[in-house]
Amino acid sequence: MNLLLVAPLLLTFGGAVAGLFLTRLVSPATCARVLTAAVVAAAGGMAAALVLVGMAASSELSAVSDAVGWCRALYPGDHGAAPWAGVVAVGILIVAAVRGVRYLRRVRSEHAPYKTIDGIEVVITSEPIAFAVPGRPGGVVMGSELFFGLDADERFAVLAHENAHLRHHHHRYVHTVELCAAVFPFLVPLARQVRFATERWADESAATEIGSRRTLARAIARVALMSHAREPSPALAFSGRGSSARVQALLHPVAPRRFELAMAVSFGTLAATLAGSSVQVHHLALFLVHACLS
Amino acid sequence: MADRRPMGSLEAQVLGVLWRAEGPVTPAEVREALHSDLAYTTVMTILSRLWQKGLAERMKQGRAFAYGPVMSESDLAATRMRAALTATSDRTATMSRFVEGLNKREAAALRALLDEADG
Repeated sequence: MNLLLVAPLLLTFGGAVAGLFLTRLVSPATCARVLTAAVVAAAGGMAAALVLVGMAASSELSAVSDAVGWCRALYPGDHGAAPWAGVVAVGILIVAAVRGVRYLRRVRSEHAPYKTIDGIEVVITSEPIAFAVPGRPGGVVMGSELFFGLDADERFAVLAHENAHLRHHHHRYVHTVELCAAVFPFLVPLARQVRFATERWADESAATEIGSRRTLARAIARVALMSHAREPSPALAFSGRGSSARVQALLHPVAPRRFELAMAVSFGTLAATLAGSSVQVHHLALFLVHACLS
Repeated sequence: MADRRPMGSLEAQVLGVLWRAEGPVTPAEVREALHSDLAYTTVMTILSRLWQKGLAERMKQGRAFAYGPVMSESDLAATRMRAALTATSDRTATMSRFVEGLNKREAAALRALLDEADG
């Protein structure tokens, strides 16, 4: 690998990792937006890098090289894009594509039963479920035991939270980053952060709407404990990032840190990731232009 | 905000009024309680949708209907046969669910926080 290829990748990873610290600094809405952009940039950069390695390696093969007329001037000398590296890169790309398609199919099949949901729908089940169904018409599905198990204020808080997801189109962020994470699993931690940020975003939005952080906190805690009583989850990859962190954030809101610092980190994260991936894409574009023109 | 209010949001507002009311309320009373510029017919439509879904009860009051909340699952089931949606958490993994799974330590922390929120 030459430095030109590795440097942008490192930059991309660096930006992505810096994004992990964003949650503590900025509002959930900003966090969700910046991290989504960073994830998309990182995935794009990664894909471009793989294509580049695949093409560089294939240019080493005399048969391909002669047939297409690859220009070696762009990567002069021994740049180390050995054929095996190309095979690995193309292999990863194929696996990534398959995983991406699989994720999209999964989304479609999971949403299919709820196509007719229009507004609030209470489904008779003892499972403590509550979720937003995006799309048109779209709405909110709640399990009956949950619905009737909460008091009126808590029930209203749950509805406000789910409606906030719909109003702010959170599924777009979540599906985008989860697609990227399905394609490139190294993005899974960042995708989780985005999901968590959308939950916090909906919490803040709902708390404002109902005028009580405490009521929403109580609703989250009670529903989470109902779920826990049914099927305890063995361990969360990011412990402390789930319900208790949300309740904590609602009961003890942290005064926003200094604005400049927050903005600096947001833009730094985004810039590093974008720079990293755009250099990647730029390489690819140059390569393609040479390949086609020569 | 430029976005139209989703239907679920309007329904939630109206349900909130029914849940807080002392007894059955008329569409006019609902509209008044909402403090919004919703048209009377819109409120009527939402109330009758909620009734059709079995989320509200209605009774004749004079010439119009008055609406009240449905308080239990048996009322819900009796009012309307629902489509058998197989909603289970493992089949909704790509959706935004209200809560994610909990481990033991988190459950303990949550119980402490719940006491705090109740107190």
